[in-house]
Amino acid sequence: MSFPKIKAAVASGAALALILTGCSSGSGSGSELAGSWDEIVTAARDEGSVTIYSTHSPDNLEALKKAFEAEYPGISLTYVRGTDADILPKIEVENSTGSGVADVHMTTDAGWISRSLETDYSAEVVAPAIENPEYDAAESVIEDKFFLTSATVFGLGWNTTNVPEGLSTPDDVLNPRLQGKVGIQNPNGIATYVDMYRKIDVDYGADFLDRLVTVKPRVYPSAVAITQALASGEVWAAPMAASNIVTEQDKGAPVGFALPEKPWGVPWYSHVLASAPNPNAAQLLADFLLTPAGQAAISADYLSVLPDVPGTGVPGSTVTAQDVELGDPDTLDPESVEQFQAEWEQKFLR
Amino acid sequence: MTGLGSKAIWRQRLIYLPLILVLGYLVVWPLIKLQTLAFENGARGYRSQYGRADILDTLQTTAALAFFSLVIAMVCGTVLAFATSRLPRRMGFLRLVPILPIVIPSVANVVGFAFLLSPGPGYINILLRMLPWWSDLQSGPVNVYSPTWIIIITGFSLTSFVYLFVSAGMQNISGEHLEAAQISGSTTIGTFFKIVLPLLRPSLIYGAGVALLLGLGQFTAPLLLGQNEGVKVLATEMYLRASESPINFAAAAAAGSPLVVVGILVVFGQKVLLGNQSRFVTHGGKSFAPVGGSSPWAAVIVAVYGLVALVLPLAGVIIVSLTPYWSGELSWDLFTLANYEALISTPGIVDSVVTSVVTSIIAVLICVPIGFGVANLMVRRQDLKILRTLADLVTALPMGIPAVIFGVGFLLTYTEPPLILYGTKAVIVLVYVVLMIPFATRMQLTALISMGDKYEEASAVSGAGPVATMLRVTLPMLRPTILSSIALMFILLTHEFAASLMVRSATTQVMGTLLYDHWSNGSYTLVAAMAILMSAVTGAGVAVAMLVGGRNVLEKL
Repeated sequence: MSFPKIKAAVASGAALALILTGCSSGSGSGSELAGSWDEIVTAARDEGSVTIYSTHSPDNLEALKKAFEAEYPGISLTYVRGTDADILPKIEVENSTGSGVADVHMTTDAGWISRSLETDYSAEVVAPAIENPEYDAAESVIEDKFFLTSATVFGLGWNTTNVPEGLSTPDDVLNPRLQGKVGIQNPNGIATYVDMYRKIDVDYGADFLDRLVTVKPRVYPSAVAITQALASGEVWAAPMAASNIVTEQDKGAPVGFALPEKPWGVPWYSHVLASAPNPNAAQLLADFLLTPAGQAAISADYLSVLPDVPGTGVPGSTVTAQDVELGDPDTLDPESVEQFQAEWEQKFLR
Repeated sequence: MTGLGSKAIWRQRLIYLPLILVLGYLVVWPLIKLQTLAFENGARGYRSQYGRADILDTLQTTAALAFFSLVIAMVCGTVLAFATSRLPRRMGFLRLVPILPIVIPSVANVVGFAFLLSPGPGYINILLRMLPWWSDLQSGPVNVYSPTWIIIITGFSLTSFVYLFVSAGMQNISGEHLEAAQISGSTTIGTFFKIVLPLLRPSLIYGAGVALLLGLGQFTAPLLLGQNEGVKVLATEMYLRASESPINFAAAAAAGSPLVVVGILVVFGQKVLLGNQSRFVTHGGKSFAPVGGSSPWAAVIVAVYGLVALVLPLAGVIIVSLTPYWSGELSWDLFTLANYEALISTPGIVDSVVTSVVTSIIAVLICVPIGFGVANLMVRRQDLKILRTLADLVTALPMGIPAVIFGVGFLLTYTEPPLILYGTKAVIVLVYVVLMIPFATRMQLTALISMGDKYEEASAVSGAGPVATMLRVTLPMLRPTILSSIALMFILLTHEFAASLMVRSATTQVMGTLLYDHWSNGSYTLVAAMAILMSAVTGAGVAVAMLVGGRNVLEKL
């Protein structure tokens, strides 16, 4: 065989070999949920790792990782932080292909939670921490699958260098001086933000969105991104800022945060995935999330699902995550979300 | 034709057929799957995508981005190619400058421009606002998130590609042609227009075609910068449709269709315009001698381009990477190395570097023999007409069709039986192979064509067989080309973003996709440190390429 022929044969062989290699590279450990809780803990240690997908703040997820790994040495926690628009399709693909990567998933999307109850996405959660009376399982767990994990309240955020007087009402954001310097979230693919816009259009004063348009807001993919934009001075004010601004304040960033009279909030619910490659470690993480140590990490500067967890909650208030209502799933189906998105784009991106 | 001859041809066909079939499966099948889906249920995908209220805006923005960034790239690329050919001897090192932006990953480059030109805290904007006539502004004057600046940044990023094609064309022009023209009485300008430009036609057409297609499929700048002001192009629409819940593959496919059609038209157009490529054999006894000598202005032009396209965005990235949070107000006590420490401690970053490097190397190693096989088929096997045509088209397609379309196609194809590769590195390698096949093939093809057949004939006349000729003449002559193609492919792949973003999973990430996630999360300072890391990884790749292929390996790109 001459050289070019050999090369051609090698080339096609190499490509074919690659495909065949790919064929055999499945994923998932194939492990199954053990019987008793003690057996689950032992099996989780054997699994040795657990992965959570979440829309929560990266700082809090990092804190969760550290706290979980300190509690359970030998089990490493991987977190993937993204918006619902990033994460939900991944959960669906992993489920449909049987190539599970995530073990636990945390979301605020009421519509998706409701729809997924009709699918086989979730496994039943068996974590004993659910039985804690202070957690109030009857209020906090949906169909033994989704469990309340944390909550956020959105408020007014500002850059203290550029807005030294701060903000006290949503109308303060509409000051013409702030034109082009107000940051808002893009609801694209994120039902939670659609719910938020609908609510603040009423709660922040009649037709707030129509009035908000007049300051030509800049658009960001998430509240977390707005926090950074406030810190950098890229925007000076935000009417729906996340409370993790407080975390940036502690790092020395020139930012301020205040709750308006009628703040809008949203709870996070988590579920153990049926496609979890580490089903036992997943239950262990679910349990840890609901302990005081887990809450101190995941709910720092946010609302805890347990009372009196240091570093969580709103100063001077006993509000907990249970006080924040999940949106109405009937108003958050994909068609309705898409329609709102189109209207929103007409308003804010024209 | 003798019986023996036709038997030999059949043997050849059987050897090349599996290669073409594998290529067809990899390149064409995902595209067919996408189109089938878009046309299903009464073309529901098309109705969904083209029934959107903003579709006209999207189409207009896509066309404007492609056209104006092409103009910028053609002008800058050609001027730079001419300028580098006239550099004074001592300034020869500046020849590298127009190629270096390729070494800087596009995501890093784009975020670098954002750090400089963001209307609020952008460092250049802050400096501009110190000028008397802008001192009353509180933001701006430049808005990096506007379509105009997205076009300018895209134009800069395409300039290097145009430059590569045009300067390669210039260097391949034999001094004999120029001398012959001058001896025949032609002036310098006459020689340029009558000899140089016509011989540059393949380079110009290829360069313009490639830049147009890259502009049409441009994804990075619109995605990273355009979201703040709702700038949408077809490529970002594809991404959005394929990352909705539930995933709308049909609409994503429909969004990409105009790009596929234009891509195919440009690929065919290039073939028609170039015609018989053997007319462009330019190897002679003498290499290109610049017409008209050197000029210090050439050095100034190249240096200014380097400053604007390379040094400034990199400086922006470096400054942000050394601060605890991105802010327009800089002071020495803010400076920190915490973001570089975070590169190690933040989950996934080290893994993403390993994944990028490993998948890129495997893909390159697969591409080189495929490219050699196809190039040989096309140049040396004139008798296998159908296979040659097929190979030509299949290997040209990935050049014409934006990477994001292959990304979506691969996500669709490999999340379904029979081959479920979702979340594996194999699917990243496969899509990388497809994206690089045109480079692997074209570079070796061009070298084989330019070589002509006189060397092989000389070898045959001297008594060497085909294998000896291949091993002792052809391959040694191709070595610089193969090494250059390895360097180019490795560099392009470690930067790859558009296709990777579609086929990655949450925990199987490459550097660019993880950087994008952190950008979306607003972790700008970590993004800056990651951009430096990405550039360092590519820089290391270039250094290795230079060690293996010689110091001027980059110039051979």
